[in-house]
Amino acid sequence: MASNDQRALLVAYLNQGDVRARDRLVEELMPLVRSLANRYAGRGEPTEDLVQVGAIGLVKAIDRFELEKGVELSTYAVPTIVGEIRRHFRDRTWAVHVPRRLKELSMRLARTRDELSAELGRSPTVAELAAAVGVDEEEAIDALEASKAYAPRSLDQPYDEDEPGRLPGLADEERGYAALERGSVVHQGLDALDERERRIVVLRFLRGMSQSEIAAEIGISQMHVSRLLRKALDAMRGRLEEPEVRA
Amino acid sequence: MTDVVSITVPATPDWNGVVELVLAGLGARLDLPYDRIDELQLATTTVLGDAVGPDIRVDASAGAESVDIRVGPLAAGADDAGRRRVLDALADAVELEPGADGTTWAVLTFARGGAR
Repeated sequence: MASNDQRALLVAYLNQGDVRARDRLVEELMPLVRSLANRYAGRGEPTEDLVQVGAIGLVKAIDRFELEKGVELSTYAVPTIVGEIRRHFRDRTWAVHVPRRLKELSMRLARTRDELSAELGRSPTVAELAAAVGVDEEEAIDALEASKAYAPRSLDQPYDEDEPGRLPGLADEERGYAALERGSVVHQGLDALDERERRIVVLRFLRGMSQSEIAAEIGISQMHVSRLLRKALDAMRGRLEEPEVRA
Repeated sequence: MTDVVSITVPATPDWNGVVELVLAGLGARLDLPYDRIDELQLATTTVLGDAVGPDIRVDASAGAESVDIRVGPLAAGADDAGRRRVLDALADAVELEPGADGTTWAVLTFARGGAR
């Protein structure tokens, strides 16, 4: 769409209240929203959710646009869209209330943990993490523990794009695991897990892979593997506490 | 010298986070890699799931070569084969020992190196 057309639609909406003009602008700029949302993909939130949050940012940008400023709407909208996506990460993906300062520190530590792991060839210590982000060890521990309240990415999403819903190589491992542990409470608890959780449980507890190795194999961060392992073990415990499973 | 940190909490999952926080502090003092601390916490909270109330005690002993986590009292099902497999993957050694009144205690040993 030419910038003159965009400006005409902005005038129609902002000066005359033509909502259809705003809808048209949203439609035209959705590729920009998708592009920005994709930059934040793979960080624990479904991309489609990020697109929807970004679209809210776009609408806010249109509502606040000032015609006399003489800038392009797309240029003006980018910070608002990105801000809305970041706010989503900060405020809506934590299972319990965690102060913003700790959330931000937690995210910095997560990035630093992955960077230092790659640099050192091993997991960093708390002291190394704290020094790298410039906080004391107690603050780092607070933030690292707080990060466990962060809700992991939906475990239902397809793992393999070529074969949605299936995990490559899982079936044989799972059969072996089931045979090995038949009758045990963990075997019963496996029923409570979805495919990705089972995959991670199998890689960690059957194959004996480290969290770092699993992270590399699946293409997610080590901290994410840790969260998913906790979630899987919690789900198994929850399942085991059901009366019909215990019976 | 062996440092020992002990904590007794109600035997409900609500208190697992407090135990994890204590273990994280201990692990940081011992300069353990963070993934080691994480697995130490995972193994301990897995054992906490076998607690028989009303309270559960965790004793963490830090030696020159390893950290021992003693947890109890536990229910008899603590020696379930599947759960044992989980613990064996996380810890360097897992022992179950009898406690008073017919209870069971778990002793998890973690070498003070990197993650397994």
